Amino acid sequence: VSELRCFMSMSLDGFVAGPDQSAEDPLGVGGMRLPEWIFWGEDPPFHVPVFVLTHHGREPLEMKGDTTFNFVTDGIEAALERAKEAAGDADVSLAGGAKVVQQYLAAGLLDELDLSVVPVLLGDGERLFENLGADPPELTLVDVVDGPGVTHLRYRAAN
Amino acid sequence: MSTISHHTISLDGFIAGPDDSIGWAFASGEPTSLAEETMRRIGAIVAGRRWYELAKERWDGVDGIYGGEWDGQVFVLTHRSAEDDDSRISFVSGGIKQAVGAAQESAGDKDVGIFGGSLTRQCLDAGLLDEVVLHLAPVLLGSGVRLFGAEGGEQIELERVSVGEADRLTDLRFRIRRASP
Repeated sequence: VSELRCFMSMSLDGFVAGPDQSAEDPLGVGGMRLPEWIFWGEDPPFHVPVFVLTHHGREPLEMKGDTTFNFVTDGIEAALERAKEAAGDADVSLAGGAKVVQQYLAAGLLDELDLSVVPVLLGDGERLFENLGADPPELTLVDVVDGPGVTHLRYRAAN
Repeated sequence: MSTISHHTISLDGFIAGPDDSIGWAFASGEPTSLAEETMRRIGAIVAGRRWYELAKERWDGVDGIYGGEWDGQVFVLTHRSAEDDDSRISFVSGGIKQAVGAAQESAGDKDVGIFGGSLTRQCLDAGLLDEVVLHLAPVLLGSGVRLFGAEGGEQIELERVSVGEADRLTDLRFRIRRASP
């Protein structure tokens, strides 16, 4: 069965991006400590269909290496439905950012959260666990992996 | 001798939930091995006024600390003068350095425990904190008292010393990295 999984890196004080995000500093000041940053050219690293949540519809964008960006304007459930359809038996990866992850978590649509806790205090920025509504899902810790410096925690959500 | 910020924390970063609830932190029952080890290392505690009021009102005061297993002096940092019949409580009004200094003296060869988000921040800003010990609970509380707020300040690097699984809690121990002089 296709599941929705999310990989995120978070600072010990709970931020997935540093403060003052800008074009020059896309993850905010200090956010480059979180290895979530990806800059790609004509050959994005996905090599699968990507569904981008947006308010502005546009035609799909085919890139080199089997990556196609599909732009979805009718919400997170529709985007997930289309992604699962494209994935078949494989899982769907939720790439973020924080606000999108929050919406899927709050809606009870996320199955698994792989969290990498980076040992740094950023002091400010964009929090991962926020805006989750009155009834956030229950999480169960299923795995702890002691990475070099970073701690990987895997949670299952009971939706 | 080290200064250790020691807390059970929710996955979303709270050390107390709505209405200062802490029952969620003890839902798994027995203290973890890291919690026991840290408790044994700590010879004196620095806490804030808010902790003090809640401890008196709800948590059995000093007797409630670490389930009654702990013995030592608690230094409460407060601007308002206060008195307590319990000789194990001392009030300090001269700031974080004075409070930590007094606790170090009382702790002797042992370490000093720091309780509370605001005090942890003050210790970090003053360069007084050596370790952060956390027991991460897989719960999302949504609101409450945060250990680490968003007040800005300098970016601080830590080194993870140990990680362990204890029932549903994750034991995490960090050392603060300081630039070599």
